[in-house]
Amino acid sequence: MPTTPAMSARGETAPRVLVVTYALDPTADYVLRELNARGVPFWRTDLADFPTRSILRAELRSDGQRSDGQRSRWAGGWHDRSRGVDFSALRAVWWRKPTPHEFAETMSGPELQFAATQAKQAMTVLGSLPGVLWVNRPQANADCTKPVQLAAAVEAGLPVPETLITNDPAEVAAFAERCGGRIVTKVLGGIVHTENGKRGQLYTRRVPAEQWDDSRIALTAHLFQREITDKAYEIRVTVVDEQQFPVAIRPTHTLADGEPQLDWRQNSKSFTHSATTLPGNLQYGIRQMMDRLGLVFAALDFIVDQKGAHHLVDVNPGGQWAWIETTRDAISYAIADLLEKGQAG
Amino acid sequence: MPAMLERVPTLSHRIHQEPAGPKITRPFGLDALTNPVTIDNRRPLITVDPATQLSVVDGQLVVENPTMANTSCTTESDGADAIALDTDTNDD
Repeated sequence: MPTTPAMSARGETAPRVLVVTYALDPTADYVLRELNARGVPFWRTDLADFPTRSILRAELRSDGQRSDGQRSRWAGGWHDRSRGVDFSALRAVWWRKPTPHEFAETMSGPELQFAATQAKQAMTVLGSLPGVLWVNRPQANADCTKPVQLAAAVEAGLPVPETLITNDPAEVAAFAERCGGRIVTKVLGGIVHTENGKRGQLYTRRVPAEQWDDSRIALTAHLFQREITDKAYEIRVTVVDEQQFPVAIRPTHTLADGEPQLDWRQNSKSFTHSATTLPGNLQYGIRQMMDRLGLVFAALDFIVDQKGAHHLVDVNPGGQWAWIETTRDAISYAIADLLEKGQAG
Repeated sequence: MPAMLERVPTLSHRIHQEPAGPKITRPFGLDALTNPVTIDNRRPLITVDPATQLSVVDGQLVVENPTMANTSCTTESDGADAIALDTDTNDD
């Protein structure tokens, strides 16, 4: 049931906005609810729906002049039984939280691998379409690794705690001493770890001196960072294009040992959230860093010390934001604005 | 879009069943593992409302379900909820 640029299969105006995310995404829902309220046609789908529940058709053209003057070499679209996008009408893609492609259960392992590669490669046709705003381009998300993001932050003039990435235990003690003997370790990837049928989290953790030469550091790469020992509070800054939404995150109490919690994700309900402001140089640095990383959206984490200095510790290109009621509506509207406007050139 | 999609972050809800290996070869970073909880295979019915395109769990719109607020579907990965987790490789 293909769509046309003018009308979808449901008799609605053909979507100009494509939202790629998992079926359970309450954060995205706040934006989609706003798009519905505005009457902005969009199509929500997931990579998991392709190819079993959606159809892609892309035909290479030698001409490809569009009504807006843009030249698109690929004609066609992507749709399911109810909705879809025509490539000539597409103006914005919100790449949220897609889940992997799903295929026939009877495929063998090698067959699945082949099918997945075919599907992934085919989807890159979306990236070749002109005049489309991406929030964010998936490769920009993928490239926003810890090493890359921290380097971009430093280049943008943002303060970042001293950081060491190594698999050499002999390097850790010297680094820790340069950091005044207080270092933490953080994962380079996602914090969720599953094994033995269980799921746990890998939070930021203090590394005591007796572990600095642990031989198991050599088993893979690890990230060590100076601990901000005089932490006053943290700030989560959600960036939507040119807009920044900073929120101070303060603990409601300290731990039994009098220390502040190293990682607020460990107990997110024990913190208060309040809107705050950022110094002008920090706002400028954030814009510079976002440009360097090729990101339109990101959720940034800063630690503020007792002297008021800000330290960037994390850049989350697909970070969550709807859990902070203080800024939920404003961010929803900002993302909806961005998707509604799309990109002209 | 270059052919980098092998590295595209996507959610994965897979729970590995394989037990931990011997301590001597367990990466140091996994010492930080906190609150491991057993995950059963019970999952609610997750769909998308055909009219609004909003998330639906067990027939109810998620944004209208107060029990979903501050779960890990909307917050960081605090492990407080077993329905969905952000397991992207580089965002939380």
